[in-house]
Amino acid sequence: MKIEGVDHVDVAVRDLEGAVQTWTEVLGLKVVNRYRDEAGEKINVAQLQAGDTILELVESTDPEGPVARFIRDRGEGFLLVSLKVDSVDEAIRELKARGAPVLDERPRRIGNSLFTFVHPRALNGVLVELITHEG
Amino acid sequence: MEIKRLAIISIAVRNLEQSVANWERTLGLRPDVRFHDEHEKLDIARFYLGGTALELIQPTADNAVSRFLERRGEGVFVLVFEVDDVRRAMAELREKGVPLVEDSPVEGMEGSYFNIHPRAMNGVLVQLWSGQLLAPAK
Repeated sequence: MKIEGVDHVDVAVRDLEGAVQTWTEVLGLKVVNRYRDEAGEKINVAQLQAGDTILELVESTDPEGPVARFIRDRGEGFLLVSLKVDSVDEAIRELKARGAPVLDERPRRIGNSLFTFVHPRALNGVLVELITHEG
Repeated sequence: MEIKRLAIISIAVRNLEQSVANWERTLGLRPDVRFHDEHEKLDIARFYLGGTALELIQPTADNAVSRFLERRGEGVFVLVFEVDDVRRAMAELREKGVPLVEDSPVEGMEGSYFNIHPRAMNGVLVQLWSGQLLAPAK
């Protein structure tokens, strides 16, 4: 597994449109893309460009979704850092071989992106996503 | 004001040695540079990952990071964004009525900066910084 860089960071928010207004007005960041994943992660996302890195503002589409639970437990705030790797399949195999708590047997998918997560207990409370973009 | 990049993701930890071992054991990452920031009273291990650095910070005195650890536990403490002119950014945000932590830019070890209050940024402590990060150790 080769870690190629920081792909994006996620901030969990209660109200996506309010948060987009805040981050664009205060920091001058621009929204470059939006997506919804109600079936899988149950999230509604706005992607803002910050140099070479994307900052995602993420709201839950379901009161029992993982992001809604995160906000209930901890409040709004930093949710995860996503690291770009050359192969998520290989990353899962390698982490399992090391005994690291990787959450999936096979990569998850949203569109052209394949990803998995490492449990925050292994990394000082930080939820780390490993991601690769096809094509 | 133009944000040039997300420069640093800074993670508060209780024990730097164990934390460095965690990140190496789990992800195979080794710090590119380790140093003590006497100004901030922090021991730091930093990974340069392309244009954004990820760093582990352990407080060496009572400070904002030690209070964060007591209140919230380990985790991401601050996101540091690079701007070209910290003074101008500060004036611009004050004009907009954005709540800031400091009254004037702080001169730190790697440049100058100020922080935006997390209540204004969905619970995230955002720092605007301009300067030069330490080079990776050879």
